[in-house]
Amino acid sequence: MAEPVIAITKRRALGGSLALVAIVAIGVLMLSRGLALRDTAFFSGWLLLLMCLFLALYNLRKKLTYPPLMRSATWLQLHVYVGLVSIAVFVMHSGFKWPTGAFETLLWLFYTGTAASGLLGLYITRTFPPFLTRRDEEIIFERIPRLRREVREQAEALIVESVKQADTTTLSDFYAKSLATYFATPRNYWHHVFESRVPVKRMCADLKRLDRYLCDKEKAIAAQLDELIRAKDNLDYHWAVQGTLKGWLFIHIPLTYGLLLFAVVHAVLVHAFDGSVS
Amino acid sequence: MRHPLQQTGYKDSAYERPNQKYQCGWAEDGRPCRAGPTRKGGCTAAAQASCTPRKEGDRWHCGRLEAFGGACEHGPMPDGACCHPEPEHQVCQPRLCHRARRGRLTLLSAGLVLAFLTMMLAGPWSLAFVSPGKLTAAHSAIEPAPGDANNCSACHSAADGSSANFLAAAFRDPPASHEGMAGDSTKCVACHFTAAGRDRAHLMAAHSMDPAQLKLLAESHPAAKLLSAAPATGDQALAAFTGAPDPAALACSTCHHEHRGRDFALTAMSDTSCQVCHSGRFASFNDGHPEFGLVPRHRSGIAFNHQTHYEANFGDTKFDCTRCHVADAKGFSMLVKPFEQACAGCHNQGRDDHHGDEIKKNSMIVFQLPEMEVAEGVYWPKDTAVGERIKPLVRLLLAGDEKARPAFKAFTEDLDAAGVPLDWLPKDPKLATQLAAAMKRLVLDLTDPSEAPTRIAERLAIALDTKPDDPRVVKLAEQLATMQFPLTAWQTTWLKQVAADADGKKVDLDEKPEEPKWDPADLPAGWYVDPADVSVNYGPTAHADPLLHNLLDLLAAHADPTSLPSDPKAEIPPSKNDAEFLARVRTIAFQDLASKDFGGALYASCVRCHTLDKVGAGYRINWTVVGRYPLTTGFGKFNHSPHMSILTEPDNCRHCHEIAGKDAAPASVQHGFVAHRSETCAACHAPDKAPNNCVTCHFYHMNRP
Repeated sequence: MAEPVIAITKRRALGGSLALVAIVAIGVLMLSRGLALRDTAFFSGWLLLLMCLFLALYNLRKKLTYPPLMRSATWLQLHVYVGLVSIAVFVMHSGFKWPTGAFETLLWLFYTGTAASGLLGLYITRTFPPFLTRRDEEIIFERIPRLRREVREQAEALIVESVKQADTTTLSDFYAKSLATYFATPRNYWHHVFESRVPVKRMCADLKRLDRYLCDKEKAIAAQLDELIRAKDNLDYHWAVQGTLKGWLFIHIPLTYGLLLFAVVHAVLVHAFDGSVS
Repeated sequence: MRHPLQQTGYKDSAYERPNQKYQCGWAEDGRPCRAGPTRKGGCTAAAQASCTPRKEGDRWHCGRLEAFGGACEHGPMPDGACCHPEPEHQVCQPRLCHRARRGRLTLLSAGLVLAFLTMMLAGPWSLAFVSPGKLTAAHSAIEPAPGDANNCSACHSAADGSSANFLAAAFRDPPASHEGMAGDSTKCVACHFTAAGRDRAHLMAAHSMDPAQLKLLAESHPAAKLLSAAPATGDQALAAFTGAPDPAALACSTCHHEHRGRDFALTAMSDTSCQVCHSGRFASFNDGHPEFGLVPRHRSGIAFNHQTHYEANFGDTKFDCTRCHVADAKGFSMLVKPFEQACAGCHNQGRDDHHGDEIKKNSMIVFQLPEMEVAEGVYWPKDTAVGERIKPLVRLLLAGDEKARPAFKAFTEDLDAAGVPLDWLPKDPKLATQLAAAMKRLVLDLTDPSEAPTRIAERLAIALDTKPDDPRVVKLAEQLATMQFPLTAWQTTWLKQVAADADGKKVDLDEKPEEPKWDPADLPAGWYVDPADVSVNYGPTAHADPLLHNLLDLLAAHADPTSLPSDPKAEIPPSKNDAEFLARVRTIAFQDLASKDFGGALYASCVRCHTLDKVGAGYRINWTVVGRYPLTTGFGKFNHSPHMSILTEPDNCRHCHEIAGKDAAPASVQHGFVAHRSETCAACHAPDKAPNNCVTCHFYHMNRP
């Protein structure tokens, strides 16, 4: 039986509201306990550790096909909103101040790195996919190296053909000087991530400026070369954007496990050095 | 024109395997093999090249699968063997896919973190590594210098012993508490409450007080009746939602949070935190704080009425506070100047001065023979024995005479007799004779030039239930022994035959007194003989007269009010034993000398200004002024220094200390002042102005570190 589908705006409103309510409730409880001279550090600390463990379980859940513990999409939603709540709890737990000791500074950095990478991942997974569908041809990430090679080989073939037909090296010189490295490897990563098309336009403009030195045959080849430049740019765009979509987890997940180790040791230490009655 | 890069179709499109752990090593170069590596990462290039030819009719056909590139160009050998053409790809080193690489990176980073933590926690630098930050400036001396061994164990029991001990400490109960202290609070107290006399029994209780006493104080506090139990602010409502902490779980760290940097305010406390426990709540100092008049005031130990001094002696123009008060070195407290500077100008003048002469005027009759009927034939100067009662000091010395005690006790505890016990004289001639004999023995003891100090010390020791070599007893005995000169003068005039009588010789029972022959100037300072009532007297020689100071101190320390009924007018039942009798003798002697209620001879000279406190079983006379800051007890604090600048006139302390007018109700006046008005303080101590939180003016710890 299919699960009921909730409109994305409604789902976000619901999830955001629940997260906000949770943050306010925890904040009020923390404030209340603090004013009443009750422990707040252990309360928020254990809450935070449990949240981190729950967040890390998502990675485990994705590896498991059985037992059926809710859909992965549901886990993702929980992961996102519990993660947002955990940031607020972390800020409250750390007392709105910078850490001072070596251990606590490292723990702080691990959490901040994990949370920041998570927020970055949340942002790019919500904004990058629509861009991919709007721009030229949609390409499977794993095919990009092969397609890049094909484009390069076609470009090289066109250059050889231009020399044969026109008996001049205008295009081949330009290729050797400006386009060889462009076709050889992925280029302009940051421009593509930030949706900038300046490099490809500059390159096409440079090629266009050669027109005055080209004969008709070369101009026809140059037109095909322009097309290949744009195709390669599209490949690079997909490589950069899809690579970023996959790559942020290379930061987020390793930091998560480091954070968990630090957090567990932190829990042990604070209980050891608390020194008051249990 | 759009250039389509991908072709679709099962033969045209490559079959990607992104979920497999390994990918072809040539994939990055854009020419992966069709089949890809094995699951374990083995290259299949060679397998893809070779085939098992199949025979159709008389011809052999290449059997290479389409997935491996399809039939080769050359086909099998004539004998049906594979021609083993060159593989489409050279053998590669398959690469891990994205996901597998991420997994490896995760494992590697987790391993590195674990190794790092193990190294840091197992090494000698572990405690420095886990330290959460610098201590406050007050505790910075505990921190080791760079390179020195840590001394975390000064505050943390978990840091005792080996470096791994703290890991185990997390899983065991906190260290056994003692003296009501929990966990590592014991370590705090080891430094903070070392001074002698500190009450360590209730350090961890609220306000460091006995909970029973605190409850009584809270219930009896007049302010409690004026305050509402309902939260007065949103913060108070929030705190009430959680409720006060369990008193049994209070530790130093409940309020004092360390490792937060040099400048952290270790004793900072919010007003709301104070009012979590306080059942009577108000919004702030400026909104609902009880008037100061309702708060018990501090006693300085010296009874001084500013009102009467202001009205009667000085008036508005001459009443200069700095005449008697001076700020301490830090300006915290206005101290009282010494007697010689503050009071002596009026109170230490000559006997006949018109004003302030009470210190010298009020002398004490030390020795006088009481008027009583002795048996016939007993040597007793009836004409000069005119005392209406036995004087307190004589009673004390008689109590120290073991021979005299039965008679002394017998007539003083005869409840059928009129008068107050210890204050009347025997009517039974037999008892009177025994008392007369005891008094004559006392005269001989006191006038013995060589033995007087020893005899007095022995008598005092018995009467005071102490030892003759008690330094204070010895000192008083030496001081009283100076009485031998006036007493000898007295004896040689009015009891000439006492020595002969003591020796059993026949004496003239009708002897006539001699004319006084002594020169008063020859007597020791303070002593004089009064022929009018035939007595030996002592008057204070000056302020802080050593004899009277020592006498009162010794009696105060050994008096025992519990030996007498709490109602001074009630009949005193017979004492149960000699110890109780002696306790009564010295207690009544002290009251007769010092108590205003009993008309004490020394009340006006000493105790009128130096107030009396009950301490334990005895008394304490406040000879010195108790400073206001730092107080040893009490919840209030005040620093005069920053407030001096607000005075409207220099040294005009009446801006805050308002002297009571003539019409002021006595209940609203203390030390001649009306209560401080909170609006005086609130003019400055208000939101956005001077601090107005609880701890600005109140201590938390009754028993302070």
